[in-house]
Amino acid sequence: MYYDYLNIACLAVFGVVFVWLNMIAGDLLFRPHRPNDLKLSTYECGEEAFGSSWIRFDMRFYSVALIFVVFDLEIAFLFPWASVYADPGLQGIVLIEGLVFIGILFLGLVYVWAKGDLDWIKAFSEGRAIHTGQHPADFSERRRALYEPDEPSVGPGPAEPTDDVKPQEAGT
Amino acid sequence: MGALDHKLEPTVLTTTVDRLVNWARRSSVWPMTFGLACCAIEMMAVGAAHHDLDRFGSGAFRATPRQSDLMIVAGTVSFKMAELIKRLYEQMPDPKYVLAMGACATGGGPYYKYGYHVVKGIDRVVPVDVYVGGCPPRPEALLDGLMALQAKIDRQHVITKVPIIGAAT
Amino acid sequence: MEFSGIVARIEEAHPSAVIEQVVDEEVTKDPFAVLDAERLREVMQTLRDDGNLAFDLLLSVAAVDYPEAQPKAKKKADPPPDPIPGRFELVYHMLSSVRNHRFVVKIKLPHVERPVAPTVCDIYPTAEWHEREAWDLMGVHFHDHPDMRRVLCVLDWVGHPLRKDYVFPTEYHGISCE
Repeated sequence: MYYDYLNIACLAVFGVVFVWLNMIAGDLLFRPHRPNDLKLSTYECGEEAFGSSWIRFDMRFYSVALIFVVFDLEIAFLFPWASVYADPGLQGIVLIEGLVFIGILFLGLVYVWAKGDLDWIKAFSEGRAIHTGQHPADFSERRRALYEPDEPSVGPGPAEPTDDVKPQEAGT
Repeated sequence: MGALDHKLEPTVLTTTVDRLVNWARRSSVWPMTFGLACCAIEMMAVGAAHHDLDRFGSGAFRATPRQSDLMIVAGTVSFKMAELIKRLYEQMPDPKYVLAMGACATGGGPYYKYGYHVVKGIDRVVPVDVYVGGCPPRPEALLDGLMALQAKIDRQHVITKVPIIGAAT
Repeated sequence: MEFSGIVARIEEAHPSAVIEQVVDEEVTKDPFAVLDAERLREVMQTLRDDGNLAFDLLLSVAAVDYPEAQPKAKKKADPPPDPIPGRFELVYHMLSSVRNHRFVVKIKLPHVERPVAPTVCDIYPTAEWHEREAWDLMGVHFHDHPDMRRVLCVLDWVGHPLRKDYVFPTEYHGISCE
C-alpha cells in the first residue's frame, strides 16, 4: 500500500525536476538577455511615474472596510444556515438561532451608524477644489514647467507675436 | 542567459533545436491588451468564441508588458499615446513582436492629411513586424496577420548564426 | 420663455450689454445674442440666478475662428474700422432644465493674436474644461481661469491646431509628422 504513495512521490519529484531543469536550460541557453533602463523600471503602465508612493489616505477607508468584512462574512455564514434550515425537523430552533445571529450583527450596524462612521464627510479644500497647486502632477518639476501656460496678453490691443503661431500678415 | 545566442554553425542538430524553440515561441504568442480605437472591437471579436484566437495559442491577452510577446496596436495612435507605446514596447521581454492593425496604426489612415495629432504609422515609433490593412480589418484579416507572424517566427535563427544576405559563401 | 423675452430680461437687468441680436430666420435657425465681452460675466450670473431665466446648464463653450474678419488696412492713414471685427468668437449654448428654454450667447473678441476672454467657470463649473479646450485648440486665453493648461493635446505641444492659420509641425519628439 505504501508503494502507491511512493509512485506518487516519484512522479512528483520527476515533474518538479523536469520542469525546473528545462526552465533553467532555456534560461541559460536560449533566452535573449537585453535589459535596458525602461525594461528594468518598476512601473509598467506606460505612464511616467511621478511623485511618491508613500501617500496618505483617509482613515475612514479602514473602518468602512472593516464593516464590510463583517457583513460579508454574515452572508457567508447564512448559506450553511439556510441549508440546515431546509431540514424539516429543526426549523423552529434554527430560525431563532439565525435571527439571534442577524440581530447581534444588526446591533453592531446600529452602533456604527450611531457613532457616525457611515457618514462620509468629503475632505473639501479651502474654496474650490480645482486649484492648480493641488494637482498631483505638481510633484514633478518637469510637468509643472509644462503645465504653466504662457503669459497671456491682458486686455485688448495687439499682443506680442509669439513663436507658437505665426501671425498673419495684415493687408498683404 | 542566452549562452548559445546566434553562435553555432547551422548543422542538423542546431537547426533542429532552432525549429524546436521556434515551434515553442510561435505556439504561445501572447498578445498585450492594447486596444486604442475601433480596431479593438475587431480584436476582441478575434479573441471571442467565433474566431477563437486560442487555436493559435494567442488567446491569453495579458494586461502587462512583462508577460506578453506581441503588441497588437489596434487603433489610432496620437502623439500623446506614442510615448506610452514606446515605453511599453521597451518593457516587453525579448523576443517581442509588433503587429500594426488597421489603417491608422499602419499609416495614419483617414487622419493622414489633416490629423495634427495622429502619428502617421507606428513604424515611426516602434519596429513593426506585420501590417494588417483595413478600416477596421475583419477578424479574418487579423488572423491572417497572426499567421504571417508565426511564419516569420518559424524562420528565426535562435542558436545558429544569422546568414549575411548577399555575402559570398 | 421665448428668445425675445430672454433678451428683454437681460436688457432690463444690464442695459446696453446686448450689442446685437440675430433672430432672422434667413440668417440663422438658432437665434443668438451678441454680448459685450466685458460684461459677459455679470450677464451669465443673471442668466443663472434670475428665477425667470434659470439657466442651470451650460451646454458648451465653443470657439470659432473667422480669419476673413480680420481688419484689412488698405492704407496706413485709414482709421481702424469701428467696431473692430473680431477674428475669434465664443459661443455659449445654454439650457434651462427648469423653464425648458434654450439660449445662445456669443461674444466677439478683439482682433489680437492672443485673445483673452473672461472666464465663467466660477459661475458654471462645467465651463472649466470647455475653456481649457478652447485654449488648447484655439488659443483663446481665459482670464482668471484657475487651471489654464492644455486638455487634449500633449502638454508641450506647440501652437493651437484648430486655428485656420495653423502651421503643421514637421516633427514631434523625434517622430516625423510629414
